[in-house]
Amino acid sequence: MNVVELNNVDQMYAGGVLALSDVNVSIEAGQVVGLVGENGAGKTTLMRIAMGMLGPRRGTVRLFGLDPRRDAVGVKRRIGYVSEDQILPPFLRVDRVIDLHRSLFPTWDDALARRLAERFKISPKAKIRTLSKGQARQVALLCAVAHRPELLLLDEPAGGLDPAARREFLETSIRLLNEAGTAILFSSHYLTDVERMADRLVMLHDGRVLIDSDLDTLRESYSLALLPANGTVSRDRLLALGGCLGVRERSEGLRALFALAPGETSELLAETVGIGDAPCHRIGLEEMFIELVGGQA
Amino acid sequence: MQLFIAPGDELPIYRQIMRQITDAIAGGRLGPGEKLASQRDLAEQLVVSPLTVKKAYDELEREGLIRTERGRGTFVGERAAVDPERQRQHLRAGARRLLSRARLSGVSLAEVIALLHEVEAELGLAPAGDGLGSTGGLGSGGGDGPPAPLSDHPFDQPHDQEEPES
Amino acid sequence: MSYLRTLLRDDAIRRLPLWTVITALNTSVLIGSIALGMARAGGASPPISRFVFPLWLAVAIYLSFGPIRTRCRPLDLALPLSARHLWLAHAGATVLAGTLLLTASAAVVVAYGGVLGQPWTSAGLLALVVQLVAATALAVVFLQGARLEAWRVPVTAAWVLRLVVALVAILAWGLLAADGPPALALVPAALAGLLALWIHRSVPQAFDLVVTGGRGAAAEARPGPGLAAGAGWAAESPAAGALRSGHTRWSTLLAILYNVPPWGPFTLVVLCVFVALGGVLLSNGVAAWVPDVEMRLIFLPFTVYIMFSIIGPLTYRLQHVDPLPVSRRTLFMALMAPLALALFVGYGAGWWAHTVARPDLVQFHIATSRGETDRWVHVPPAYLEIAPTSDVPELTAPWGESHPASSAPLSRRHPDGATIYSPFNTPDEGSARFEAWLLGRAIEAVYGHTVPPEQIVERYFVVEGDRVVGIAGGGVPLRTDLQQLSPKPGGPDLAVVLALTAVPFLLLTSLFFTTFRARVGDRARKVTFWSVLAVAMVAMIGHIPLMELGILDLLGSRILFEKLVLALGRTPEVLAVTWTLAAASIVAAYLLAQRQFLRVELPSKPSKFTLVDWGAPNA
Repeated sequence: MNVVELNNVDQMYAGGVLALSDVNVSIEAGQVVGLVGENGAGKTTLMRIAMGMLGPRRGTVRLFGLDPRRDAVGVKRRIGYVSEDQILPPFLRVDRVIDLHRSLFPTWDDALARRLAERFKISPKAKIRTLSKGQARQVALLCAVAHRPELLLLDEPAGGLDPAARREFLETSIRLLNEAGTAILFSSHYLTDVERMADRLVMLHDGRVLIDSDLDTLRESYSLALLPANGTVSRDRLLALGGCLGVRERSEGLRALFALAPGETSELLAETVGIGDAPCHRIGLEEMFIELVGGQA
Repeated sequence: MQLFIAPGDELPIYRQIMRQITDAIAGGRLGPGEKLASQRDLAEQLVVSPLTVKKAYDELEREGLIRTERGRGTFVGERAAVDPERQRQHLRAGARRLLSRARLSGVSLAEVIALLHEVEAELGLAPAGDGLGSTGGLGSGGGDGPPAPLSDHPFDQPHDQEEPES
Repeated sequence: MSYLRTLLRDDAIRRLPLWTVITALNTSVLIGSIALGMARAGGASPPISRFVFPLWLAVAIYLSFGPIRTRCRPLDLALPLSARHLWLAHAGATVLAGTLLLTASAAVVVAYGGVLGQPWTSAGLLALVVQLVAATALAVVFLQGARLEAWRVPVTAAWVLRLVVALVAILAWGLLAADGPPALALVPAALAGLLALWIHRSVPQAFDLVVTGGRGAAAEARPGPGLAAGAGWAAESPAAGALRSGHTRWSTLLAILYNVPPWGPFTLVVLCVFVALGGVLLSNGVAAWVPDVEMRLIFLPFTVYIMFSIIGPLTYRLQHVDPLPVSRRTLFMALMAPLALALFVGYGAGWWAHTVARPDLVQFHIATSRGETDRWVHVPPAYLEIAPTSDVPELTAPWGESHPASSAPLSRRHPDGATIYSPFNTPDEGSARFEAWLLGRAIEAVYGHTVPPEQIVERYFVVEGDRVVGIAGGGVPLRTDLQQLSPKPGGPDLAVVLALTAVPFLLLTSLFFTTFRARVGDRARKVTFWSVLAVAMVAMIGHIPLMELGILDLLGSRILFEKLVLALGRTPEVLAVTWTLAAASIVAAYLLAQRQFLRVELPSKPSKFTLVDWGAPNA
């Protein structure tokens, strides 16, 4: 049974804005899935639907085989959730917030909580509103992680944090992965973090899933071809080729992203458009993101 | 030993791990039978997903470079366990690259062989007393031979002798 | 930028339409209550000073809760405008706003006067308004003298003190100068001008963005990025076990839920006090001190209004609780509980007061004016009767003496239509024995106790000839005797009141919760909330025009209502049915509202649903 299972999910916001469209995502235990996409692509919506905080307009959502809206309490007990805008109540003290989580989650591990509190140097008597963004986020992470959840949902957890705080966050998540085999779904704009942590990548664009693939496979089997701008081949022609995911037109030439290894791309181009010497590179995640998202329009 | 990975690099992370371990074994920094960090520890050290480390270790094991013993840990394999066929494939690819570059720079095969002997000596892999190619006696294209190595470490070489990865 | 332009941009002016509406409604409620009381008391035009209070209240509310403390927007600090310019514009805007609000309030008063046919002199009222405007100007300038370096004055003890002084001063001046010549207003006006000039010179070149002190400023004084990076960290790591705070789960959950804008934890307290007040009034608990509060019915929409107004703000903290494994049903109960509790407490307190104070349900009044003696027996409204036409029955004593019953048409428009009459009163001057018989009938009807007329004449009346001229012992024997008796049970008052309050409230709440869906925008939610409140408020004061148009008579409605309640308790079976129906309807409404709450989808940024803003940013 998958930890997370979204099938044919649609979600609509006010004004008929389609936030998600026919989204299928499934996550197994112990997997780490990175969710990327531009702002407004639907990442937060997807997370909130997974949490049961929104109901899908169409399609089904199952967490641990349960409906997160019907069995809300049972499901939420097994999930840790950290969101960029899910601020903790500012007027409460840290120890009180932690106490609340301790009493609500039956699997709370006090030793782990204390270890994390020491590591993050959290002052228990401080009020949330006196903490900096990074410190508050660490409190939220502690509360989400200390009950050893089966699933961690992290919505831009590193948003607004300085690099050191981000690294701390990652380290904690990985430690949790090691110790508890938690499945993690996290969305982030920091693609280097995604590259470090994720086994799988799901890329959303305009509410649709553009890519859902193993991260290493992605890196090894995607390539970027650079074609001259002399008009020998048009953008549409390239897009029509099987395996072409997106083409960006620049003044210096066309950049085409293919779901093929560099060698295969080269061969394909030679066969179909007669260009045999176009350089084809493997590219990193950030480049891929830009080519895809920029090239879709 | 310490590994270092760069997430934005062209190589996927598991390949970077593999390469560094492979290099370390080849360079003698990891001796046969030496214990490697556990997958979990390595994941925490490098701040990467444990599954990535697992993938790297699994691949290395398949190539015969390391072996895992249940309950005891992961160890560098004995030389004999290395799969010669795979290694030959790797070497062939490397040789192809080396010779293409040599051809482009106008370096002859003989010079390349001489170069290989020199590097062998630097790496400390040459059997003692082998007169051929132990020190830069053969006339290689331009310049003196390489200066005496500072250490065994393959990376501790003066930069202008370093062959860039192609 | 000219002063005028800055003035017009000021929040005090921009929020003026909203505040005008609030003021008009506040004043209506107040005036409505006062007017009715005065109208029944005789109809003479009250002294002008009577109107000081409602007008003063309009200004007081504005100065306490309106955009007074905020001198400018933080963005304005970047514009090439001097702090003096901003200060002066804001002071001017506030004075202007205050003036317009006073005028609006006075207009409402005059409107009521016209509607009720009361000759409240507009000239006198205008003079009063002028006085109050001048006093307000002085008060505003005085208030604006606080914390000259701040772009927004924080709420500190010093500010509250200033506010209190200013409000008291306005009230005092209003009372003192109400009857005086209009030219007297020049005194505070001149003082205001001088004070403004003097303060204006002391305003610094620029306002500070970071202001220390007070609740509003605590959040602003928080070190931002780049400032005091070490603030907030503890130097030492926490001791083991220091992570416990000793609070229980529900105490923390409730502390989160109930801490909502605009006043944090006090919001709920303040509003629940009003709900309790509603409960007291609905239980007729003030009957001992204010006889026959005909407004009992009006406080039904009032209570519903207050209860619903809490629901909006209470949604503010739900976002903190949403990701936690807490059952939504329990949360819903937590939201409803304080309101139910307040209502019950209020009702119970009123009922207890009623029981303890034991007001006289039956009273005998005798009054002489202009040579005419009026005698009448006063009974609770339920014991009055309504006849379908102006043909009211005659009251005939057993020995044959007969007089017509006192009556008044239900609607002024239809004098021949339905008529209210009292079976215990006659406009004629009956014999002492007749009067005694009437009183005896009343006592029997209300208390179920029979007293023969002769005994009544002997014990309670002062008789001269054959007429009653006074009440013995100032009414003491009557009162004492009545207090020995216990009145007949009044009927399922609680059930009816509860149902009429809770069911509309729960239905409106469930309507409100249906707007919490992903596909419904924030604007629609706000419009729904404020529309519902507006409708409730209209229900509260809508009776006035209805009365004027003759469609509704308050006394008549009250009588019908009380009779209905009484009738519902006549037999045990009817009583049981009433209670069952009331309970069932309340439970059904509760379940409906709960169901909508279970389906709620919270937006990522909560809305405040308040008009008032203390200014503390999301504290």
